[in-house]
Amino acid sequence: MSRISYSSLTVGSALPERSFQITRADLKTYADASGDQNPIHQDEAFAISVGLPNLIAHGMYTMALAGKYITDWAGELTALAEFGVRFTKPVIVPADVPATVIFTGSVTELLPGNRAKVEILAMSDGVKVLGQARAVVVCDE
Amino acid sequence: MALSAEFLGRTYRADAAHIVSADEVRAFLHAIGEPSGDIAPPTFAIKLALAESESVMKSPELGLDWSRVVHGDQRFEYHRPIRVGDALDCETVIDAIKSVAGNDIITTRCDLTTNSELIVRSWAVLFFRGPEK
Repeated sequence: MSRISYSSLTVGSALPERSFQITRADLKTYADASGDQNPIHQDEAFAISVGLPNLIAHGMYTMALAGKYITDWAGELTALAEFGVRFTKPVIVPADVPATVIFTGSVTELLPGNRAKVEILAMSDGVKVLGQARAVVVCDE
Repeated sequence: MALSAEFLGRTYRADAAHIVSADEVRAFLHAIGEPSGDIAPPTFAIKLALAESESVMKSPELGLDWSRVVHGDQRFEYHRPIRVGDALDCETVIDAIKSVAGNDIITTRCDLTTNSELIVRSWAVLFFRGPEK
């Protein structure tokens, strides 16, 4: 495995835009894998009963996809030194069509030790679903 | 009722180490669209951290209603990847307590260690929505 080359990066280098689709079946698979069985992610009637517009994705599932977006770009699953997000709005997952999350991002700072700070934007249905979504990527030279 | 500030800094240790199984890593990788492997993806640590936070928050002394929780922020600091076979000890610290408009906002820090070596440190900001007015 090799990682993205630090010397190829500059502040402003873009991560290519990428979109992920999320179905209700994906949420069930994620619930089983993560142990987070909160019904707001699986039961539409329950989600609505607690004031949500519809069934919503686990924030941590969106964060996991954001992690995949960054680590695929970085070239290795283990390339992150730090990773953080704020869950600003939920990703709404209707019954009939998958939700789409569109990621874009860029390098915001070059740090010593071949490290690059990246900031990403995650949009779903025109709404920003993650805020302050940042990671420190350990690059190859 | 707002959570008492006396819980700030309170530390909880999981009873036993969690042995990371091949099955759970494979299932997590599969769920997020990654190929199978022996190394856990970056957010895998949440599986342990959030379960521990839940058990701490629901403990009788804190008595928070986990069904009213909203996950506000999540942050990880990686010291080395989690691998299949790791025996992870989990320590949860109540790092911050705030009360805003009837909601408790609690930051928990979770350290996953093996033989006292820090593997992943994470922070979760949890909003406990107050009762409906």
